[in-house]
Amino acid sequence: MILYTPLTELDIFPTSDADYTKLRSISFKGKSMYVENMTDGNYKIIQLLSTDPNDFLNKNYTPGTLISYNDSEQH
Amino acid sequence: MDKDHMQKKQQEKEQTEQTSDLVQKIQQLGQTSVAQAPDTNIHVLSIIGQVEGHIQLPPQNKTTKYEHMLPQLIAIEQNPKIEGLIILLNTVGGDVEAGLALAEMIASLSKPTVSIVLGGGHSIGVPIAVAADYSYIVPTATMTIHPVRLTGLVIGVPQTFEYLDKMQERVIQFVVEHSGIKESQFKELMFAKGNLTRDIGTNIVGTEAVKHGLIDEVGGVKNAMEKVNQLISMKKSQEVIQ
Repeated sequence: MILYTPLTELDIFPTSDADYTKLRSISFKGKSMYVENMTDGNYKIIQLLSTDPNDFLNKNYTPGTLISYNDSEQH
Repeated sequence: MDKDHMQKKQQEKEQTEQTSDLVQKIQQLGQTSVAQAPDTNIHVLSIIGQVEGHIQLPPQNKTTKYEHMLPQLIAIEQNPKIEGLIILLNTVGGDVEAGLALAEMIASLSKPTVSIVLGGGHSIGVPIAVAADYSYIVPTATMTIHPVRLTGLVIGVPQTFEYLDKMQERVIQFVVEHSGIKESQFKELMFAKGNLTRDIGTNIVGTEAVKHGLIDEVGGVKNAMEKVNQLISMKKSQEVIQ
């Protein structure tokens, strides 16, 4: 299907509310990060929010890593 | 016998764990090992995508959220181990108030700050870029300077117009105070016609930004690192004198 339109993709296919709630920022082991809820209880790291360049070399925080994070246990 | 069997099982388990870890790494990064480095005294703040304001943007957008950035900047100011900050900019712009908040925070840091404009530092990216103590732009990067504008429903047009006018004045004042550009020249770039197709404003590339005095120098990572180290040692020697 090809849509010829000056409208943006988002105007035609609006984002569902679920997409918004899927992403959230958490603090995990003292590092804040932006994660996606994987529905199986795990979270996938989307973006690491740190200013320490070494955190970006830490393989545990690379985007795509699955982490198990529990809301009740505060880090 | 039993012990042997247990040991073998354990070994097998370890091996599969190792391979799954390896597979995961390849899936994430396309490589198996990531370089490790010692502790650093220079931190990096990247301002990417769109500067997000009061309204959350759809998840497809790459955004810089100021509510994440502001605590980080406070942490940088407080942490005695951090001596300098490099700001990487590749932004299309975004919310004026959020952008100005970030710019003011960067400008009021006591630690040396150096910014590099990579790719683009458009719109509200301009005040953020000039907020640093010293700014660099790579030769291919561009900066779009244009008036403040608004999308969406407007209630009370004259009031909103005045509000936007004042907002624009704040942006202009900030840029003029924190860079070498003159107010008249910045306004000229902002309201220029014919540079952007059917729009008001100017798109300036690398060396032009330096020529206008908006950015201090053309350069990349090497220059920025040298500069921030130089500023750190300058600050240290000043402290010694005091």
